[in-house]
Parts: sequence; structure tokens; C-alpha cells
Amino acid sequence: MSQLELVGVSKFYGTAVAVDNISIKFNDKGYICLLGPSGCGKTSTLRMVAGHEEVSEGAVVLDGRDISKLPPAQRGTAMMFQNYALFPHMTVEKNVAFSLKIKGVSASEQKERVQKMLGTVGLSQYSERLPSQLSGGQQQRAALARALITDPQILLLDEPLSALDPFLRVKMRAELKRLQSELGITFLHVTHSQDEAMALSDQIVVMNDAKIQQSGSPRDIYNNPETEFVAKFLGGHNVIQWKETLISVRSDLFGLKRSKGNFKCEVNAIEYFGDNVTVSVEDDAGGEYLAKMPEATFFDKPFSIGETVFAVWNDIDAKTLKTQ
Amino acid sequence: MAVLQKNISSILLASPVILVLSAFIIVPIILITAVSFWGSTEFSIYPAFLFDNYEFLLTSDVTYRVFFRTLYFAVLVWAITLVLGFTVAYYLAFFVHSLTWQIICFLLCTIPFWTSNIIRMISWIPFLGRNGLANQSLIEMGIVDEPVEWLLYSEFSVCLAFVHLYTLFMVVPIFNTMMRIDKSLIEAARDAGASSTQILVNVIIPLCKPGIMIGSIFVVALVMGDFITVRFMSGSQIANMGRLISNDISLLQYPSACATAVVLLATVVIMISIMLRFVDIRKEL
Repeated sequence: MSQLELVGVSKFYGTAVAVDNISIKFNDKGYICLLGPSGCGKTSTLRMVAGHEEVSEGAVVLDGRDISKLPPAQRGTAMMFQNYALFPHMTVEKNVAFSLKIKGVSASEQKERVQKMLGTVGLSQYSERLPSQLSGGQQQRAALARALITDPQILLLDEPLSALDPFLRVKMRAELKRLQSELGITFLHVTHSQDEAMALSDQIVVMNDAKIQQSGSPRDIYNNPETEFVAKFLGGHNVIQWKETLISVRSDLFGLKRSKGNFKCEVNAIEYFGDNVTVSVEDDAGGEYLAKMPEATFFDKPFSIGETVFAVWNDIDAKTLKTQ
Repeated sequence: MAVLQKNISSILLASPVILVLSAFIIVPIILITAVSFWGSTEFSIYPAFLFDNYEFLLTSDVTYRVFFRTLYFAVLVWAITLVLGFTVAYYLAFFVHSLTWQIICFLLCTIPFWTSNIIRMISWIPFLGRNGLANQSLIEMGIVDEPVEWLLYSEFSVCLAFVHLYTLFMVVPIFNTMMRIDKSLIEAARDAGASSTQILVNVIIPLCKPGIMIGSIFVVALVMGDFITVRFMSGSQIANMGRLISNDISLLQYPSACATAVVLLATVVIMISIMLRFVDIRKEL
């Protein structure tokens, strides 16, 4: 079991509110992403779970036990830091063995467990290197090994992929996911990248302004964004003021016609992406919308810039947004 | 041709520093070394190439006693300033969180350095003297019946003055390396279950080694070369290498003073190169 729950958790820095009374139950043994723009309180939330930040109000509950007053090492969590925080004066092996050494594990057992862990993350042949002699991806694996050797119930990852180049990011993303299902523990991953959250998680928690906006599976959230913020932050959605209500329509379900539609607009940009073409249109009030259509559909009867078109969608694809 | 021009411009660019180093370090050392081989009588010195000065210096029992006394002070003062300096730097770097307070504390450490070190040294004398503030307070508090004699003009007072003068030379480089330690390293150590002491021993001290080494070089070099502190604070009762040199100079025995200086310089250079063997300070410079 590694059932993590936040109960009315807040974090204040003086009068500033970083996290405002959030309550949520995370999936057991799931891959969870805390998604939000910078300054939304997601990192503070993670650090409160880790024990590196005091909980101002509320409780962090793991398997029915309030861990919010425990020191970090006794919580059953382990943290992987954004910049990896590897000890620069220790070899990879010593870095990974650090927590075992602190616990007083015998040298031979340390060696054995470290080798096994380095094997798991694919760093066996680098055990004698210093962190500065490793590439970004290898440093990350080392940091991962150091966190996992404590046998945590929950692994906390603070923007783990942000320091990597885009190619490596996609590769490490797959590896994190694989590791999570192999180990069968909960991963709590903080990110500001929608792609990352969509690709990795089975539960996304979208945060903004110190509050949770929405949580659910990626598909749930993508198909039913509840607030304007979520629809806009996820991208790929058009937020439209339509007949007294605010609705969101996915841009791939947002169509354009040459005659008759819900409202009139003008094409102001066309971008070709290979598998699709994204047409950007502007209505009379200056609102901008995106229509994503398959390549073949577009080139069947291509639109041109400046052309007047009409926006259409099926009622079933229009999701009503809560007004905040 | 282009290569030659490039070489000439490099040499020209480096020439100011070469000139400064030669004028203020290399030439004086050559002169001192040269003069150390000269001969002397009670009233004159003359150019020669004699080993008399070194022979006299290295066969005299006094030299060795003074030499080891100097070394003893260097080690003692080094140890005390290291402990004190590390503690102060540790406190400033990890327990004073606001930048304003860090600057205020730092100024408190440095402001005394705006006065001459002679004045700072001499100000201990009325404090520690037979009828000084320290003794008066001790007597009034009933801790001692009669004035404590070893407070002034003793090894204690010499050490005290050295520590007072040179602790900051330890604080600054150690503080500097400590400030460069990524705070998330400490969190990572705490995450792994390390206590504050374990973090200190396993993370902070190893990462502060370059700063400790730079501070140590300052303190050892300063104490080894000092003569005025030992003279004032011991009431001329304790001798060190610096005082041997200053005595020789006051008697116009320049060749002998130079020979002592060369020996002292060689010792300090050897000590520092041994210290540099242990830690690579280049990345701190």
C-alpha cells in the first residue's frame, strides 16, 4: 500500500499563500503528475510531502498515518531533486550508498545493494565516476538510484526532466514510466509541461493560484476540462463565449466551413505540421481560435489567409466551463 | 609571421604582470638570497660567497629552539583559528538566513580591520595587564585572590592576539566555499536520513576543503612570518624566526638576516606545498 492523501493542506510564507487548503487522494501505486504554471504551488506541495517544507495547516496522510510532522527520512518518501543534488565529492557508488551508510548497513551489503540498484538504472559501469564526469541523463539515473535505494513507498520527482535536452527528455520519460510500473510504487511528479503529464501519468492534478483546479486521468481532463484555466493550460482547446455560457471545444473537433456556421471569422494563419494543418482564425471581437484538421481534409479544399469562414462544432463536443 | 605577431602580442599582454611580479617578488628574493652569502664583520658587510651565515644559523642550538617555537605557534594558532573560523562561517552561511543580517554580521567581523593591527594588538595590553580589566573583574568576582600573571606577556597573550588578528582570514574563504554549496545537497542528505552532524562530516566539511586550505595558508604564512605580535604580546620574552631576523637587522647584520629569511621562506614554501598536495584549490580561485 502506498496511499497518499492531502487533507486541507496549506502553506503560508508570511502573508503569502503558496498552497491554499488543498485536499486530494492520490491513486495508489499510480503515476501522478502535479501540473501547473510556475508559482502555482505544485513544488511547495511536493516539498511538504517530502518533509523539506513545513506544513502550515492540514495533514499529509500516507496509509492512514499522518506523516506531516515526521523528518523526511522517516516518511517512506524519497525525493529526486530538480538539479539532481548529487554530492559532487562522492563517486556514483558512494552517492547511491549514502543513505545505507547513514543507516549503518554493513559495507558488503551496501556494495551488493548499490550494484543491484545501479544495474536497475543502467549505470553499472559508471560506479567509480564523479557526478561531474557524467552526462545529464546519467546524472539523472544516479539521482534516481540514490532516491530508490531507500525503498520508498512514494518517489517524489521535482521537475525531473527539465534539465535535459528534448530528445533525452522523451527517452527518460519512457524510462520513468517503465520504472514506476516495475517497482509498483507511487510516483509523484511535478511538472509544468502538459506533454509530460499527458504521456506519463494515470492521474493528473492541475494546479493554479495555490489551488487544485481539476484532477483525473489524462483522458478525463483532456475531454472534460472543468475550468477555463485547465482548458487553456492543457492547450488544444478553444475557449468560446457562446450563448451566455463559456464552453470549450477541442481544436481537432472545431471545424471551419465556407458557408453558414456558428459564427463568422477570418483566417489569419496556417501552419503545416505534417500529420495535420492548424488554421488560426479570428472573430470580429478579436478572439482567436485554432482549428486542427487532418492534412488530407485541408488540402482537399485549402483555406487561404484573409478568407472569411464560419466556425462549426457538434453540441456534444462543447463542454461547459465553470465560471470561477 | 602571423604566429610571431601573435606571440609578441601575448608577451606584451602578459608583460604588466611579469613586470610587477619580477619587481616585487622575484628580484627581492634573488637579492635576499645573494646577500645571504655575503660576509660581515661587527661594523661592515662585504660581497662574497660564503656559507658562514648558514653554518652559524644551522649549527646553533638557539635557531632550532626558536624555529620550533615558531612552528608551535603556527600549528596552535592554525588549529584554534580553524575551529573558530569554521564555526563562525558555518553559522553565517547556514543559520543566518536573511542577506541583510549576513551583511551586518560580516561587517561586524570586518570593521575592526579598519584600524591598524598594532592598535588592535596593543589594546589587549591594558585589558590583560596585572591591574587590567580582566584581572580586576576576576578578583572582584572572587574567582582569584591575586592577579593572574600569565594573562599578559606570555604564550597565552601571544596566541590570543594571533587568534584575534587572523581568525577572519579563516572565516572569509570558508564562508565563501560554504555559500557555494547548493542547499539542495543538504536537503538530499537529510532526505537520506543524515543528522546535522552527519551532514557536517559527510557533506559540508569535504566540500569546504578548498576554503579551509586557503584560510590555512593565510594563517600559517602570517604567523610564521610575524615578529611584531610576538614582540609586543610577549613583552620581548618570546622569540620566533621573525624576531631573529629583526634583531639581526637592528644590528645591521644583513647577511645573517638574509640567511634566516631564506631558511624561513623555504620552510613556509615547503609547508604550503605539502598542504596543496591534499586539496586542489585551483577551482576556488
